[in-house]
Amino acid sequence: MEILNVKDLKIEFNLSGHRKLHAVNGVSFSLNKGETLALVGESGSGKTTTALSLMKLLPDNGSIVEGEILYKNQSVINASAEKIRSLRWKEISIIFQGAMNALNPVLTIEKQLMDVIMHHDHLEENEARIRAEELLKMVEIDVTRLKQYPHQFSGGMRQRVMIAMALACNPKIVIGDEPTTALDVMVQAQIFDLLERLKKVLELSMIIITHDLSILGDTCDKVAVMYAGEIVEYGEVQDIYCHPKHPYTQKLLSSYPVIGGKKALPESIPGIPMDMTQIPVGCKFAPRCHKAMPICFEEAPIQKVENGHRYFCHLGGESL
Amino acid sequence: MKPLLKLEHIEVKFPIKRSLLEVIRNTPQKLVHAVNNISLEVAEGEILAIVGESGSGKTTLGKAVNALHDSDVVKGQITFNGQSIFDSKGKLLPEYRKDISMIFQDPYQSLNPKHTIEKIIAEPLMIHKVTKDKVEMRNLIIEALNHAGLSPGESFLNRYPHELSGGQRQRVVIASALVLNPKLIIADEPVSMLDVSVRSDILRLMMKLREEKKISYLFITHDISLAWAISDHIAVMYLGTMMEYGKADEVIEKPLNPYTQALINVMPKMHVRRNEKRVLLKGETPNPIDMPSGCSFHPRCPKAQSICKNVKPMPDWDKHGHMNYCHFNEEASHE
Amino acid sequence: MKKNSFIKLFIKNKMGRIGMIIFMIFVMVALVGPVIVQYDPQDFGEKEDVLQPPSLTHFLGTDDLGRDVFKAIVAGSRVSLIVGIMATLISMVIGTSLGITSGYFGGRIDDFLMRLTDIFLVLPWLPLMLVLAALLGASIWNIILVIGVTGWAGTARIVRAQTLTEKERQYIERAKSIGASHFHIIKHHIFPNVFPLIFANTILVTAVSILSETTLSFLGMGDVSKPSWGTTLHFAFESGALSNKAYWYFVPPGLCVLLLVLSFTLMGFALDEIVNPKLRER
Repeated sequence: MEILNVKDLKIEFNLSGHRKLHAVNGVSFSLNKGETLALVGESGSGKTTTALSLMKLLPDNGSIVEGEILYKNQSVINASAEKIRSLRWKEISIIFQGAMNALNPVLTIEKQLMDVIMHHDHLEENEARIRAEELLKMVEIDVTRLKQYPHQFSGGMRQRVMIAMALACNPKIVIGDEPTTALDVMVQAQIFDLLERLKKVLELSMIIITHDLSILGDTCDKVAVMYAGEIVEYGEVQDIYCHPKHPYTQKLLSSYPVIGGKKALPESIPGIPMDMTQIPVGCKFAPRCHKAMPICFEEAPIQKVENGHRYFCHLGGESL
Repeated sequence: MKPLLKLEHIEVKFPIKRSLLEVIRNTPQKLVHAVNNISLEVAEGEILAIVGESGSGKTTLGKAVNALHDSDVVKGQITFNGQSIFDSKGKLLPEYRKDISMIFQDPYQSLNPKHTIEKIIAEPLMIHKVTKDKVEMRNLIIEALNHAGLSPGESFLNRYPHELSGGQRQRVVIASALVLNPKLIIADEPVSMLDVSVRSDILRLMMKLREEKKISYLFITHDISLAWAISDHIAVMYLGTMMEYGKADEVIEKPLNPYTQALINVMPKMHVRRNEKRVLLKGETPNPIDMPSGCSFHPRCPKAQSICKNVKPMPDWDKHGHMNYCHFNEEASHE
Repeated sequence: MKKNSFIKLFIKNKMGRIGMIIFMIFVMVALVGPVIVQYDPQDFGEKEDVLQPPSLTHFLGTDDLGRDVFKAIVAGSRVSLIVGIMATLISMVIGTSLGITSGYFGGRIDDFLMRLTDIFLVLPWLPLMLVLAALLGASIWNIILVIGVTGWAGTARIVRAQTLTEKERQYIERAKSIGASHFHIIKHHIFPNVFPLIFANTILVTAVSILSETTLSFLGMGDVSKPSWGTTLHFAFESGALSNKAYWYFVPPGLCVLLLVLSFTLMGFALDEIVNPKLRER
């Protein structure tokens, strides 16, 4: 069942001197109940902006200029302020990047969890306390640690608390913005393991924002690879891993060494990310593409679809 | 090959500052056991990767090799080119600083924002009084920049770090590490802060320098796949102890130690394994103040027996130079 | 931060602009004034000149000894500024060197220097200055010394705090790994990065120094041969100008002190906002 549908989303930021930064340029995707989608890309590819717009959390100088976001078939873009408030956290919640380091150091974990619950759910203090305990059990932390302070928690534990906060109001969709960056591999695996189990129990849909392609196989169903504010390739994880069609995806995949694969130095992507204040005519990736042809600089590629695997490239999708 | 760098029984223990009350009560001085009894060798032109999670002591070990700790917290012998790096009075040999260089993790933090690129790279030359001649110094700087892939070097001289991208900054760090023609570079997570697209450029640059200048590397990283891809030997550290050491391929393909096995198991593998059952270690690395008895890995080890709790294992070397720090070496290798 | 943008930010800042204008006026008066308006504190006027209200001949009236108050204030501006700035320089040199030493080396040195700083912070500075000034005798240089030696503690604390942050930076570690000496690191890395803060602090300390000078002089510890505004206030008080309602005698010097201190405070706040981006308005 489709729970979220984003159509042709365009987001701009106003910069000083009447310049505009085209952060998101026509992004479309949908999310089914119980599905996990990954938004993958380098820094500045528009993945976080896209995710924030789902809850209308864009900064003041950013605005959605085109497109539609439908949550349960209802428009988010045209929704009233009150509707948006009931959407945030109760329907869609987010685990912000690095938020585990932003826990208030002078309040107990319990107090901080209760604050979130009471703010959004208008529960009595006693009920909120019970809910906080439930949440902590859910993320597999000993309830006796409720009265402790953030500094008594390790990085992985704090991230679990952040997950508990995101789950506080029974949302249907949880967005994780780089949820395991800066954590050790072992802790990262534990967190993904936990998310996986929670997802099944609570029937959550998830959107994972990440720059790390290698972790997708551990968590995701669908992958959207973003470059310069566009989804250049979209498909099942398996397809993306085994048959990447877009040269950018191919390059990204080969920039990680994988144990069990070919032992070689990772590959690089030449050039620098695009200047997002000026949109070129042709394919946005062409200047950095190792397979670029003359047409790539003249015409923007149109979308090609093969069995639900979508990509934007002039090449017919030959493999490497 | 003769070893360029030899570490023998290196231990680093930091005292924890006691409060006044504790001093009065005469509570015993607590220590952070950051590095415990590590012996290693790095040959000329070799890349040794030191792999570990946070809290494993890998950075502390790197700093010990770089002689950045106060001398009273480091025990053991460091030999460079067959010579102890400290003289009989415990003073660091001045040539040693010229022979080694360090590359840090965060290229945004390791350059002084107020200095131009020229000044940054001139710093080692000034400190070691390589030359007084301004033209010669400038030529050396430009050469180092070119070597580090920032060409033409002249165009970078008057720029400031904030005008450069992350990858370019890391190249500046490398250029300033190169300018004294070091024999060994200690690289502490040199690419983990960089975007994937520039990561491999930096790695390639480091490999190129090894070919051209026979530079050895002590490559400190949390990423065991990366260690496998670039290094000759791998040393796996946990809680300050070396758990396994051997040729990179052997350690990765036939890991002997339960910790290495777990680490390799959880590394993302780029294939779909959401529904596979995986063995995850419970909990996180304990703090190195109250060290577990016996084998320091035993509280989290899936194979732990009672002996692990009580007796410290001995490092077990096989004839191929593969070391395993575990009581159950035989069983593990036959699996 | 680029130098140009620094000046731009400063001029853009309203407080900084006003402070700067007032300060420049006083500097002009102090530089040019004594050349145009000759003032001799020994030049007592005739009997009919005593305590005259403002008139065309005596712009701001006369004092109890028949001297021109306006001339006294013009001459006093130079003394007040010199004492304020020189004393601040002494404070800054002591505060900066102790702060950096303490923060950089840490350990026992830090403990010792910070306890010393605490002592200077909690000492009642006015009685201390009075005692010192009385011991050393009333000369302008002694006053500078006394104010300078008692006023560094706050600076030392601030500089130490900033040094502690700076010394943890990775480029310091890089410099150490190259083999840089402590002196090199302090000279090339710590000091240049602490300097903006010292500079902003200097301005604020100058305001305090000028106030201290006025206080000391008002209490009669000033150098009578080089009368400052404080000295003028002292004589006004002594001669009973207040009860005689000779407002022209005590209001102008008081106002001058107020304005000059205000100008430094405004500039200091403006600088603080600039070097301390957390305070910068968006």
